[in-house]
This record gives sequence, structure tokens and C-alpha cells, in this order.
Amino acid sequence: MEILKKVFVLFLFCFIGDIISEFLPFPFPGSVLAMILLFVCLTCGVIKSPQVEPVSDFLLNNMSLTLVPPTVSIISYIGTLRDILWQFFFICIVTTVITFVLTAYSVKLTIYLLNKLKGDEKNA
Amino acid sequence: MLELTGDPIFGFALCIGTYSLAAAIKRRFNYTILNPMLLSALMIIVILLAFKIPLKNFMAGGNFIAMFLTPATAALAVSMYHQLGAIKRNFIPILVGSVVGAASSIASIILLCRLFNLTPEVTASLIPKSITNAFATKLAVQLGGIVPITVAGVCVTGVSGSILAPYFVKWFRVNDPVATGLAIGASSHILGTSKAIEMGEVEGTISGIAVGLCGLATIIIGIFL
Repeated sequence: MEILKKVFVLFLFCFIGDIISEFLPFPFPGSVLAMILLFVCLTCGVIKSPQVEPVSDFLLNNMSLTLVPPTVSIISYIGTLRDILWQFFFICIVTTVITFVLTAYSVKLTIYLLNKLKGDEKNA
Repeated sequence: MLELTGDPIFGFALCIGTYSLAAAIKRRFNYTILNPMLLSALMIIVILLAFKIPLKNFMAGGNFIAMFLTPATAALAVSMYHQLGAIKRNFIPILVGSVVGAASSIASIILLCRLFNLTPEVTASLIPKSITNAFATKLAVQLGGIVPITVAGVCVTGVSGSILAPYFVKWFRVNDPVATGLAIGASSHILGTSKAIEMGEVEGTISGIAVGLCGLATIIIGIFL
């Protein structure tokens, strides 16, 4: 029963997220809205983390499994991509590398600059 | 016999069975390239092709498993709650990284599409490919793209990101959990995030935040394209 209650709480947030997503004037996924909403409720204390744990841990630890079916369905797009197949894969993979590197280094640089700024303030 | 594969039980069992097997193989040999998600998907594809089972039949059960991605994404809130301190401390780097991530993704896609002389429709379809599906398909429609190409792009980007992320961290010496999480979320959305969760709670949490923020940043940049 305990487990079912926790599953219910999580799914309730998901459904509310979907409803809000439907009424927003710009595209924003219900799942991310559910995440924000649950986070706000946890920080405000409306929901206590034991009310969703350990179901939330189970879902997080098995998230890769939920992505297997979408990965399998890539085969159904091969036909649409016939003429641009190698360019398509090249672009998808290379831009992933570029985005990863630029993002990682911009974060590292920002952290470095902020630390330096803090150090200067202390020394002044 | 073949009709029975249309029963959701078939797809569900096949998915969980191959994934458990793939996870066992990964544990036994422990090479990064043996990604359980990819291994399991490859096994399913081989089985579907070998026995001429339509994808539609597999997806009857597969869609049920895929549905759990929504509560799993929501569950990231619990990690965010536990990592509240790390989020507050790194608030500015997270914002900067998300904007840089969205901008570099869009810029690199446009540049490479020009290089390969791809049509404006294909370019428009690929621009949203680094953000999670629900964001991406809507942006593709707005930009005049072809939605199936966008969906395929989102999948391929996510899969390559989740497989390559551990290598990227090593090759580019990222060695900072906030930078790692943000880079994974920005470059390969929720699929990468599933890998980031395995790397650590900070990585997973920050990656989840990056999925939301980069999606939003991409949508905003999309208005001006």
C-alpha cells in the first residue's frame, strides 16, 4: 500500500504537469513541469521526500530502461533519412561533441572567474 | 504466433528481458561501450528483424515502459532537493552553461547543415535536436521542419551522448561534477541525463536542470530564427 501511495503522488504530479503544459502559450514539456512542481513542493515542505522515496530512486536508477523503446524506434526513420543518412549521423554526433565541450568549459570558466572574484573581495 | 507479439506483454517482456541481460553483460565485462540501453535496443532490433515482427507490435508493450520516463523525470526533483546546496552555490555557472549550451548547439547545427548543403527544411528539423522530445517537436513545427527527422535527430543525439559522455569527461578532462552534468544535459538531453545519474547525484541533478533550462533557452533563441 505504501508503495502504491508513492507511485500515485508521482503520477499525480505528472498529470498536473501535463495539464499545465497544455495551457502554456509556449512549448514546455509536462514532465519538466512536474519536476519543477515537485521540487517546489519539496522545498516548501508541502511534500516530504519520504512520501515519494524509494519509488523515486527506483525510477531514477532505471531511467535508461524507459529510453530503450524510443531507441528501437529509430529504425522506423531510416526510410525518411535515406538520402541524407551519413550527413544526418555525422551532424548529430559532431554537434553533440561541440556542445558538450563548449558547455563544460564555459561552466568551468565561470566557476573559476567567480572564485577569483570572491578571492579578490576577501583580499581587498 | 505472430499476432501474439501484438500483445503488450510481448514488448514489455522483451524490453525488460534484453535490458536485464545487457546490464548483466555490462557488469561482467565493465567496458563503457557496453551501454545497457544500446545493447538492449540492438538485441530487440535484431530479434524484430529476424522474426519479421512489426515495430508496432513491439511498441504496444514498449510504449508502456516509455511512459515511465515522465515520472522518472519528475523524480529528479528529489535529487534536486537533496542537492539544493550545490545548486545554490552554482546558480550563475548553471545559467551561463545553459545559454552557452543552447547557443553552441544551434550554431554548430546550422553551420554543419550549410556545409553539407542540406535543404532549409532539414536544417529546421535538426535545429531543435539537442533538446528533449516534447520541446523539440513543437519547435520543429514552429521553424517549418519535418517532425520525424527531428524525432530521429533527438534520439540519435541522446543515444550518442549517453554512450560517449564518459569518454568526453576523460578526453576533455572535465573533472568537475557541475560542468559534467551541465554539458551532458545540454548536449544530449534526458537520454544523457540517464547516464549522468549513474555517474553521480550532482551530475544527474545538474543534468536534469540543464535539460529544462537549455530547452527553454533554445525555444527563446528559436523565436529569432
